[in-house]
Amino acid sequence: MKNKLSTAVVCGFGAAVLGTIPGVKTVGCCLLLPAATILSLYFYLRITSFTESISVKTAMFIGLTTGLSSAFFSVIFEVLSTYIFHSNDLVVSLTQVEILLNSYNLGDLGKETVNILSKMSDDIIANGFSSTYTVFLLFNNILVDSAFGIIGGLIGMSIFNKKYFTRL
Amino acid sequence: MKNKLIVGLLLFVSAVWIAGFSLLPFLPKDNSFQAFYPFLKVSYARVCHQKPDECFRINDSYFLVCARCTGIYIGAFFGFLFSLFSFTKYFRAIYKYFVVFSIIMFGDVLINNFLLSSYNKTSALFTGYLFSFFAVNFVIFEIKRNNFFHSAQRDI
Repeated sequence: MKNKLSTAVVCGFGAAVLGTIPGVKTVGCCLLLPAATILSLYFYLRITSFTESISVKTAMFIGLTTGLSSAFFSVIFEVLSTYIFHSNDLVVSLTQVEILLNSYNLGDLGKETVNILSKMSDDIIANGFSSTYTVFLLFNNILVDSAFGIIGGLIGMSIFNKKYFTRL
Repeated sequence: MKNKLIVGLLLFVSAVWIAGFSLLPFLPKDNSFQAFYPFLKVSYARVCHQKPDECFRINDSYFLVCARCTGIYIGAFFGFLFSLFSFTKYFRAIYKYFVVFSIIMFGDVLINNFLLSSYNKTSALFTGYLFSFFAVNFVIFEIKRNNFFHSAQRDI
């Protein structure tokens, strides 16, 4: 259990750090987190000295914990950088989004969306922190990163079981 | 039967995921769903860089993920569809296809990002599609073969 968690947290942290670097994200894209999970599985196999194959349950557990740790660390990095600079992607792109949504004539729903975004942006500019934005980001990252972590875990399991534990 | 149910569920989830990043350009501009654009953009930003010149553009709107990600997700959808009809069990060399198309896709990533001056969306789409299609089939094949449980040093 300790082995699974430690490798997952280390690789999740690594994925969160790499995700903040624009150049790496351009190349890694949606495969960054699955790659981190595959690396996490490899470390787990190294720690356990390749004694036994990876079960679906173990692969999913390591994938999930890698995804969760990546989600938490990435939110922490985002909140910290937003607090320091009192700005982020939302604040920068708000004017364009506002113009776009107003041009769509969406009525009350469009106005409500702009209001929510403006409130988040105002909070960030004034205090460097928006609780609504942080909760949204945390919820979104947990959902997406967990899913991509599990996918990476299953891909890694298939590769390593095929490579190390199958005698054809 | 249980396998098919799970694969069917994954097929549905992948269809919803694809609709999430590609539906808005096809909807009328005054459709209520357009109001979710900023939130969807932030959601998909977690898994894609979303550079406009690397995304497909339809009806003056961009997809929320790049061409390669579009290919990967569409490939996953068709991969689930393919494995739903149990064709995978006749596909013994799937691992080789998976390895070959992984290498091709990573080669394309390197060529598109570091060698070519302009991004080739078509090659990104197709290499992503083929990688994902065979990755999904390979994973499902392995899961089915291992029968969902731990099996140490199993002889096949």
